[in-house]
Amino acid sequence: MTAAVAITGLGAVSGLGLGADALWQGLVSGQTALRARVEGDALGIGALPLSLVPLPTEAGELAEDLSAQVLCSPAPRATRMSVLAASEAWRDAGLGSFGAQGVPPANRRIGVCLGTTHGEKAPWLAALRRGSIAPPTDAHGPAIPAQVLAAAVGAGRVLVPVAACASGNVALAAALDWIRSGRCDVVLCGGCDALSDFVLRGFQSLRALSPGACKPFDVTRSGLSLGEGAAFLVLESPQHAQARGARVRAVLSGAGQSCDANHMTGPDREGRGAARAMCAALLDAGVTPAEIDFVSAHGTATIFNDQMEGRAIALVFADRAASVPVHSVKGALGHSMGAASALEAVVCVRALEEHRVPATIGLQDPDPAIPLRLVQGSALSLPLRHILSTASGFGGLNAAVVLSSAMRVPGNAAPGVTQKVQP
Amino acid sequence: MRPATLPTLAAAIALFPSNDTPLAALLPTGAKTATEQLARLDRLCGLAVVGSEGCLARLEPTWRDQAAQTAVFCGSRDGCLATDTAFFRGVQNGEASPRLFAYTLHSAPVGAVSIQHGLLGPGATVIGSQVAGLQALEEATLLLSSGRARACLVLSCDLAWSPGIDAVAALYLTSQPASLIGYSTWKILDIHSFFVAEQPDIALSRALAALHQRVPQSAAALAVSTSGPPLATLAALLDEPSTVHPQLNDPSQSCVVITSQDAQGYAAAAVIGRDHGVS
Repeated sequence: MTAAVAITGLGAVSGLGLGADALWQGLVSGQTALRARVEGDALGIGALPLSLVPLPTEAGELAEDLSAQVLCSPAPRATRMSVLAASEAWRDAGLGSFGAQGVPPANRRIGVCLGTTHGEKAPWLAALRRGSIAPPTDAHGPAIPAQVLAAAVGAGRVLVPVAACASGNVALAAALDWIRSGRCDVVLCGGCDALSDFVLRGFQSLRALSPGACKPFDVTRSGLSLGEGAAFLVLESPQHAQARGARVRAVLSGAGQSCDANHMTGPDREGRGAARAMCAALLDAGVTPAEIDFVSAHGTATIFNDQMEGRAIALVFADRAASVPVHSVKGALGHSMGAASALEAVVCVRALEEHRVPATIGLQDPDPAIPLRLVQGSALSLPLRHILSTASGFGGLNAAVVLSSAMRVPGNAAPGVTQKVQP
Repeated sequence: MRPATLPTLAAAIALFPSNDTPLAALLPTGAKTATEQLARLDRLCGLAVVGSEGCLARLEPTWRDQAAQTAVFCGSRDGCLATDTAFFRGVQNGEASPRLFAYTLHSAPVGAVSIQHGLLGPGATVIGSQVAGLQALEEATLLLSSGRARACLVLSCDLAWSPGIDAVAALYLTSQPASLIGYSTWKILDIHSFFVAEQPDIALSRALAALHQRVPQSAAALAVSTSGPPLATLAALLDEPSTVHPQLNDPSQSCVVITSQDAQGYAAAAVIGRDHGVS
């Protein structure tokens, strides 16, 4: 077991609205952001349900009638989403202004770690539409959102890791290492991805999209729904957080990763890769499967993913597999790719604080071939100490994290937590 | 802060083929990858697989004993944007290719290499900067120090955008003594990446000064600044006997410092030392 790291700030933008609170309140009240959009018709692939972020300056257009043209506009959408979510997390952590910090010293001990699948692709796609065949310039780089955030917080270290749809958790894992190794005192970490026709067409070509809103773990599930978003967490060493009197909302106890080494687009059918990542995270956290109170699943609602996850959870939890609560937020948020597991980490922190688990939206008739205790219908109240959150992506890449109650930090009384427990 | 456990570089290779060179021609004798398998990959993944084959071929077969705990980290400035372009042209023509879409993720080379060699440890690609390869090397070092993997194959690959030279580097790091598994006598002494919004040269100078302080005083250091993919330069240096820098063949030249920076403000410095006599 190695040291846990404090989580002192949260920020998110999702189809449920702007802010971590909008995300949490939307989920626990059973809302969904998935709505049939005209983009699908414009692209000739039907009125697909999508979960789009209502960015402030586009709120009117984005609400209901966004055209494919607007959806794929050159506006740096991923960057704007990232700035909104990251600035919220920064403010939430009480770290001061979020803006140009000037020239940071070389030994600046603030880091930015942004997981993504595509980063900021809009300017480059726009250039391609104009017929450009030139190589991407720096302004088209996928790392733009991370660079903007780094300038805003004066980060001396920036990383943009890509591990397909597990990128958010991989960013958390890297940030965890930076804090543990002493490279950084504070890390702004998370994930972002914006929707585009590039992504829609890609998943359509794989025949992975559900014609209706996706139904994670349902026996009638027929594929995933796409979404977008950004989510960030502020990580600090407990000592650093304590020294500046920061509120510790939860802790990141451990992380684990694995490769299936099996197929470029399909998971290991038996769930062995995902199970290895989960076991590695538990080992890193010094937490046993028996101590996990809830599993935040990847739960994309594809036939193979959900089946794979059921088997992976069975491998890890053995006799407890049918009793540990499991949910997926994809039925409410769609699959937001590189942002997905970062959004789920924000949800997990709120769950640890509130001792509530949102229901799996879209799940009506659980697949009997996946014998899990799926949270459905309405939010579940239960005492929560440790949560396992898992993600998997193309290339067979898996990443899992263990998030724990703030009470795991020595000396952190986490006032009010016990009073909120509803049996 | 230096990692608690210094991983050993057991083998390294760098290849700089022109971008019209068939990748199959670069496979080493006895490679596991068949020509037909390479043909199914996009060029970036193919380049990564070829580099990995060249590196792993230099190891003792016992490396496979730890394949289940071997990670794959890749660094790339532009990643798969070339394949993205090809896919997007298909989208515009109404013929989106599911085969190509699988390779429109920057992490595709990690998946392809792990599949090819049965590597089951962690994996990710670092993108967006000239020093992405060195950043991947740093992340691999941290990972090995944390004990979450026992070995790591670190790759750096980038494609030329017009007729030109592709670049791939592959380094095999292990927490075991190098003599058990490879040929290299080099060890990572320190590696740090930096991000500075302005004046990266000033920050890098400070960083290098700090790094030099940690290098054993008796060591003669060969500092190499590079404007190309720095991990490829590093691998070429360590691919003994070095033809790029013959000074490295002199055992008294016991350290090498690789530095690089790019216009976006990314910079990195790695200090590599002889495996003997340093700690």
